Amino acid sequence: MPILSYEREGSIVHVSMMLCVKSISAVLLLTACVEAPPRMVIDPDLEAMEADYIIFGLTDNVTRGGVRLFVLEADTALIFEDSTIVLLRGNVTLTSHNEELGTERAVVTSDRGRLDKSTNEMLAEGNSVLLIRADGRRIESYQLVYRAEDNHMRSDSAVVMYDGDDVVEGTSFISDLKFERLDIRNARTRGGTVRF
Amino acid sequence: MSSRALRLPLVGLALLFAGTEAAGQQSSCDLQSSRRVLSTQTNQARVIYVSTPRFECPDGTRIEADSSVTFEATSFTQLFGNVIFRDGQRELFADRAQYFSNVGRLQAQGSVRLMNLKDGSSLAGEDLVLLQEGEDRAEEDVVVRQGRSHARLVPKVAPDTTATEGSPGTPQPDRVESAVPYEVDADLIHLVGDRLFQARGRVQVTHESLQFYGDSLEFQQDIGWLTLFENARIISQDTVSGDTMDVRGDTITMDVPDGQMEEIEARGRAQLLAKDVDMRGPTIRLAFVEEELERVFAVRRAVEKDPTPVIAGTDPSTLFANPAQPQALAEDFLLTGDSIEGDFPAGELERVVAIGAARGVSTARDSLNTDATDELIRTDWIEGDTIIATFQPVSPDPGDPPENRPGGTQTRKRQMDLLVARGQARSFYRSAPDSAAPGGATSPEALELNYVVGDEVRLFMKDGEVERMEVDSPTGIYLQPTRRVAPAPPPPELDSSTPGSPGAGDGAVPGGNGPPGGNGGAQ
Repeated sequence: MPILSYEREGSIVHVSMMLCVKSISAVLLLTACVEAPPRMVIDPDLEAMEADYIIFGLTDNVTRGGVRLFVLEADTALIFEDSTIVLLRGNVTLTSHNEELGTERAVVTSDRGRLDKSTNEMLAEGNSVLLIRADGRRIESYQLVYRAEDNHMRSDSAVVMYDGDDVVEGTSFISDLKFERLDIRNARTRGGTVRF
Repeated sequence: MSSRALRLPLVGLALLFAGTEAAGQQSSCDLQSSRRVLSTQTNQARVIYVSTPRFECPDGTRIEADSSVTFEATSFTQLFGNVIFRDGQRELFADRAQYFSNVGRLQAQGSVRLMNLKDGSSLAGEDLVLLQEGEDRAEEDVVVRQGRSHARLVPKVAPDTTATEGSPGTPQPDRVESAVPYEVDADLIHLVGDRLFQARGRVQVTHESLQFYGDSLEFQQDIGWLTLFENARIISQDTVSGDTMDVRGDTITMDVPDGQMEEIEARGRAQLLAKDVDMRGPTIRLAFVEEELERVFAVRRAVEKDPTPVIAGTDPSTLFANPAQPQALAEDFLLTGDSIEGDFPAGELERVVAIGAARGVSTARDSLNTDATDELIRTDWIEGDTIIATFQPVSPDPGDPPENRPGGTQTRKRQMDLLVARGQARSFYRSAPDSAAPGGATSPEALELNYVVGDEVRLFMKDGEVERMEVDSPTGIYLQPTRRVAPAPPPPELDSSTPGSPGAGDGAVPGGNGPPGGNGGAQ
């Protein structure tokens, strides 16, 4: 297995430190007089998270042998010390690069994401869109799964692929990022896609 | 003979795909449904595998199959299993099909059926090749082969001009009445646009009571010309009377402009077998008026050798040994001439005319012959530059069924009524002597012989016998036997090389015109 490295940028907060600060503040409040000092409000969702780290404004460059495979961006990333899974929240963007040329090959955007660091499999979920830079082809689905190991993209949800005026719809698909081998289940087309 | 019809709906059978794009261009269609699509791309071209595809093209053409493979680089598509092409007017069913869009070629194999939904016409066979119209091809071209190909061609009936429906001047679409289709079976069927229909290999065409046969067939619809090649045969049965007309020849052509049968021509060992006539010759031509046989012509073919004399009363196959000169056998009368014309007004034989070295031989009185009768006098005959035989219907007997009487559904039997020879006319007629043999002998009697030459000879017939004879400028001979009993045939052990002639030693009657039966005279 090729060695992958991650270079992360963003504001990292250790969640246990944050809870400690919260406790001290509470004691101070109890010993205070009538005037109540300003309270620190913590997002309940954030408070409920069991992540060990939270990264705001994540930009993650994933490389193989020093060559950039893809760049992962998200508003928030939740990291767990006992798991290889990284949960991504908000404006998730995965930009795949051509290993030979270093140019952008495809961009995946979604509402949420789930990156498995052990397999480098990225699940984009919610309004997922795959855009092929070379020819402008676009694939939309509820979810898209990108596997960096073999450069494959797949979806087990309903999928719509736009290629110029051609539209292909299916219930699932799997393809390499060059779209040299595209496999669509229950496909149907619009716009005269099949040329005899 | 019914001829409605030969205006066949060839157009439309060959047009699948044709409406979408011309040959040489790609047809862009959509996949309405499928189970799975696998697209692989190499060298800027895709190969698309589709499981259970249901394609639909912009012109409405639908294509279905169990699976398909499209090679975009070569514009080649293969379809496998339960292939269906359907465009609203036509359907193609096959086990497999291949389409080469860049050359406009569609191939289909396995239980192929191409159907015109509009009128029910169809083609069926094991292997079909369809070539689209394009820059290199002016018309669609369809070939069905392998096994026994079949075509069902429903005739388009031209609108009835006397119909009162619709406003005057309003163009009426082609009506497809409850027309009985032409069923064509052949080893190979070939269509070129809506212009040409060809069938090869044991061709058989059936249409109601009409049947065509031939080694091959060609129908040029634009000029209404149908040809049957080799071992050609047309059989037509009158649905009312049940009479059958049988036309045979090496080649038969039919002229059917606007779907109306106007002429049939049989060439090379041509033969017409009808109720009242058996005509044979190098060329026989039948003319029709309003689909009814009106006239028959037979003409001779120029040959180097002189025609072999025809002897009546022998095997019919030997009667027509001379292929150069046409011959007609009506009743027991064989007529030969350089050309023969038969008139069939209202479908009934009325007159047969032989012109040029005409000769008529009757076998009606073969009962007069014995084994000892010399070949020279075994038949009655008449010759002339022209011979005209006139026929009349036989008066019905009181016991005949009603349908055989005048006005009945059955056509009445016809008999020769008058026989006329003109120009160097000659006639030879035999008759049995009036009196019985003396002593009550049962041996066959010697015959009375009447030979006459004149400008014109007229024989008036009744019940197959010559009732009266008239001769213009007669000369001839009338021979009556002096010995009533004909000589017995020589015993087998004796030399029979010089049998005695009947009436040998009888005195001649110079210039006498003996009437049949010894009565009458020249006029």
